[in-house]
Amino acid sequence: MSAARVERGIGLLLSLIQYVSASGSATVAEAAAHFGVDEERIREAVQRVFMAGVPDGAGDFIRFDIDFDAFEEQDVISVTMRPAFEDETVRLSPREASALIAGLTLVAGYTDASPERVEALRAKLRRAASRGADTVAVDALGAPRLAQQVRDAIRRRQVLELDYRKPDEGSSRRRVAPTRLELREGQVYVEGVDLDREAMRTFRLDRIERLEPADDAWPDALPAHERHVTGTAQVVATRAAAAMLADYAASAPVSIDGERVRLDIEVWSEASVLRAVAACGGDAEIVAPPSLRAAMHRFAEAALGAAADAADGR
Amino acid sequence: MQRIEAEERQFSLLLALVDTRTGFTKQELFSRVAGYQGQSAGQALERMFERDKDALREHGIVIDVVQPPGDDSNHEARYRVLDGVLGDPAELQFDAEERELLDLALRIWHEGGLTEEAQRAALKLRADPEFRGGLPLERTPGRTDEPEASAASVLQPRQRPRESAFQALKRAADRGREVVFDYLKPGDRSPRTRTVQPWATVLFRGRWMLVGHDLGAEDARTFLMQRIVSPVHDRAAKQPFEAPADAAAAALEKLEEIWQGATVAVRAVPGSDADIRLRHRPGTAEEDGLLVIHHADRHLIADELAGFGADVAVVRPDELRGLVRERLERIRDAHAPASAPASGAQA
Repeated sequence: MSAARVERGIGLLLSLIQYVSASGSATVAEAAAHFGVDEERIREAVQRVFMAGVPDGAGDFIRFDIDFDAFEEQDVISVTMRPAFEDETVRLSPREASALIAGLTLVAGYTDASPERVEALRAKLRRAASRGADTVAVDALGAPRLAQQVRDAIRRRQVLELDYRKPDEGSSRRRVAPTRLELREGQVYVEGVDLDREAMRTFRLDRIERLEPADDAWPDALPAHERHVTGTAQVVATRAAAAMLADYAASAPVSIDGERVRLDIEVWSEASVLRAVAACGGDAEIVAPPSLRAAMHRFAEAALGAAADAADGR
Repeated sequence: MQRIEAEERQFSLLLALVDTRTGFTKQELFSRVAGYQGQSAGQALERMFERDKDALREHGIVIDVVQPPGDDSNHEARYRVLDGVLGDPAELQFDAEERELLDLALRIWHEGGLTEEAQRAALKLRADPEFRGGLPLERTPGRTDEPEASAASVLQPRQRPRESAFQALKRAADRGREVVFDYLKPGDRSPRTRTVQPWATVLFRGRWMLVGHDLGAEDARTFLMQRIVSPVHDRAAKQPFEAPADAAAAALEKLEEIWQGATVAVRAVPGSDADIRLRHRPGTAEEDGLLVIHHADRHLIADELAGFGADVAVVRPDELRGLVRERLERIRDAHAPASAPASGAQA
């Protein structure tokens, strides 16, 4: 929805004028491709720039002029008179600059750019922003070394051998052709072809114990990503806990009383679901199926037992 | 009379405003700008003008109102583009390496609460024909993707501030309005209504937070967006306020300080999921066979540790051992075989 809104409005008109001026001239098709909007929208924007104008104090009219024949007959946009925005432009708003600077902070560690280069770019963005408070900030954590190794392997098309541990399972050695690093809510995921399973798999970086280059050839074709959902579970939770389970949710939360909601969550790994529900700290309850309820009960009993043992053993 | 589209009217308004150094009165604008011309003065015209000012603000074009000294009639107030809104186009031109970095930085917001800002920023940067990065504004069939193994194809950042509160909070902060919402504080069982002057949003260790002045507590507070459990309402501020210029950075600094100072020591089953993940957590150290981990809130870390189940046992401090035990007891009791499932399950 927001995508449709952003390309409506005068932002496109302003950028289009500058783009065309900087290019000398541009065809409607080129401009549409450059801005990622359809050609009709570009034509409409040109018309509106051309129609707009205001009288100046001296009785003249301030308006943009284009080569209208070229536009009508050849679909070519060429600005012939530019009464404004020649040597000035609308700067980034504080929020736009914040989004750029915060995004840069998050991704910089995963690129080859030097810290000095990144800092210089941040400073440049601050200068390119109009005055205002910094409204968005993110913590700058360095990219884990494992992530950098994966990044290099993706670029070199290098198969990796990794020791990976899933909850409640032993460590397993996997041969993976990594295709993508994904940054999601502060967690890093590696997506790639699991050569033994001949399928796309996603691995949490913080569950990788070790990785090394392998000799295997890079796969010719990338299989489709599949996820094995073995069932759904019904959970009753506070609204805040339901938000924490949103990644698993198969349905929108339905309010059952003032404070709690019911939602269905997908189960593709029972151990992962139990952990996610437990991490709500008691604010989420599995109501069905009974087998998963029982498993949740055993999970809590075992954890309490381990805690008591640890206390005794001190 | 031919109807003037809002976009055209707003563009004309902008042309009028950038053409003047001294500013125009509202009456002058109404008589100059096509779209206002010929409309009878009144509420409808005033509302149209307000909407247009808001639309320009969305693009970062803030309209300043200058009141002549000694005049408070509002008739002589002059409108102009705020100083600093316009700058040198060269400021928004970047070299190839910078463009690649900015492309990635924009893509990280490809869904969620900062998508709109990222798209608007991309639109401004694309005034430079060399800049092709950022987010597609609209999906166009047949558009070619980036060349293979560019930085953008290696890294797929997805940082989703999907909390529904995000948009409402940003808009309120921009317009200097206070917000009212129900907040479920970590560790609390029922929410409490808060009234806050919103300042900034920060992302800390993967969690989005609102920073603002809590009018109930009469102090600066940080709220986890995920725990805002009601729609966010905004209203005119009783006392006009302005966010401190460094609000976001100061809040981050304070969170880092808390993170540095707050630790919990746990015994993790060697080689378990908890062992591996807690070792990867920023700042974790090993001491005498225990993992010493940092956190920013005792209730949140208690939730997280409860999620590791029997893989971890808290050794110290006692308070956290108690908090984790309470949680596990609640989970155990809620899922006890004899107990009926939570009410509403059969509904």
